[in-house]
Amino acid sequence: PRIAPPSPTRPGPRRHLGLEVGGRRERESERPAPPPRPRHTGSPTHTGPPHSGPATPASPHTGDMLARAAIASGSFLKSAPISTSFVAISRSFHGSSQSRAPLPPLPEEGGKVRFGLIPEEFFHFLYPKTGVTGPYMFGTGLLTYLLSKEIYVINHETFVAISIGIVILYGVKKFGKDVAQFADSLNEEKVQTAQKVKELALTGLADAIEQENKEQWRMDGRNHLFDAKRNNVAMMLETNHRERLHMVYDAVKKRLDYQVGLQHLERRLAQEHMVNWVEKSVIQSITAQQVSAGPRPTRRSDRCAPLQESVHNAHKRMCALIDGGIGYNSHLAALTGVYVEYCVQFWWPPLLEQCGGFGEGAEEVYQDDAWINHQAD
Amino acid sequence: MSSRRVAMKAVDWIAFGERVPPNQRAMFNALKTRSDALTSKLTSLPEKPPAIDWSYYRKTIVKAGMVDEFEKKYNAIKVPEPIDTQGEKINAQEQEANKSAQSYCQASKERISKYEKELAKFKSMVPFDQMTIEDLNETFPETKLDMVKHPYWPHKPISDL
Repeated sequence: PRIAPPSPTRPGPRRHLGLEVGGRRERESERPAPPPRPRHTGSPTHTGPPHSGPATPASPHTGDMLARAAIASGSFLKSAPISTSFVAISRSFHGSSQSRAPLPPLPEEGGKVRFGLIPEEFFHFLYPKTGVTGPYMFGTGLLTYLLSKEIYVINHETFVAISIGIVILYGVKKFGKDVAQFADSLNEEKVQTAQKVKELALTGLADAIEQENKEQWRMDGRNHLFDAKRNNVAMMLETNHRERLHMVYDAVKKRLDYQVGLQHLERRLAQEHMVNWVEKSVIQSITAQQVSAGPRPTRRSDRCAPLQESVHNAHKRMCALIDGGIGYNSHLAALTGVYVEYCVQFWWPPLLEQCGGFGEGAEEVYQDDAWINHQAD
Repeated sequence: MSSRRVAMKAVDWIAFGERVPPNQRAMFNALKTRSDALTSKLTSLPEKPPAIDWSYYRKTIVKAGMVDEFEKKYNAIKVPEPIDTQGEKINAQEQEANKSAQSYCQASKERISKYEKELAKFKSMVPFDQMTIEDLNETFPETKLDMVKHPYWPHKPISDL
């Protein structure tokens, strides 16, 4: 049957639209029903060959299909889309109708035979009419006929055939099973390797899928990294800020402390200098005089106490004056007065000696806090 | 200032560590130690320096007005807060990372779908002992012997045997 090639560029429904629209176009588009042709461009997204006509050599099956569809079915304007994307079915020879259902598995054993030649089906075929012995009688009769009528001539080849046949039969009966087993094992090995490959592939794919999912899960944790980074930066900034504050504080404190320390130092130096000077001058003045000292106190503490007390008083007075910001000259005058006072009453040099001069108590005297606490000594 | 303290998000190091792939462990450890060092340094510094005892200095220091001047200037000083130069870079990095993560996830999903298709194919295929050669060629196209290129047996280059 002649099959017109389908024209995919002329879809059917358009025709009706054309009728509604316009005058002259109507007449042109009005035609008899399109010649019967199988439609198989129903699916808009078919992935098979775009022009699935019978001329395409790549798919002879489609050609068959088309032919069958053209012959068999009456209505060609099938609404159901027949997809042209065929998976190549290579068993077009085995069946009359191409069904895409999977074939049943091939049989394990071959068909049953008797005498290695005659299939069982023959015996089953004759059984209803002739019973069990029927086929055997038929065989015997046939053989007798062939031999007696000399349709089969017995000659040398017959004996050769008989001998070889016996040997072959013996060989097959004895070694057949083993050889079959060996051949099967060869095949088995191939199947085994294929099976291993399949299993490997399965596990590999499953692992790969798992790995991919794991990697995706890992990616979700990228926020942590950036949070950590930002935290680090914030911490560094904060630390820097605090360090700056501390730096300011330290600088100011240092300067203030320096001033305080400087003042203390100045005062100490002044004290020392003054005391030394006064001592020197007083010693000079004493050696000029004859001092009549009272009873010499025996206990050292008694001897030292007045001196230290005097010095203490003098020091206090001097400090008060210094703190008050008065110049050094008046301090000198005050201290000189005190010492002169003292030396008039007591015998200076032995007392100095006994008290160990200014050596022992000197440091304590010149420090602000410590010698106030040593009053009791 | 204290406001910056609040802006720091608590990083869950354990969860973070779980997601680190083994080849980046060393980097993660380095980052962690660095973070810990910074944290300890930060906590070791008190937030504000101790207050200066101005009355004591006013009593002790003789120079007139020095302490007052210092006090005024000290209270007036504004320590500039350090500027954040790296913040935008980090944000930019994060954006990039997000994008690349997106594309990677896409690619990963595609790969997964491919794998799943192959898996389905393997699962639904004919068992080997029921196959014929045509079935084999269908399932594994690489086993198909090219009769056109090698018309004579064994239909493949001798080296492939």
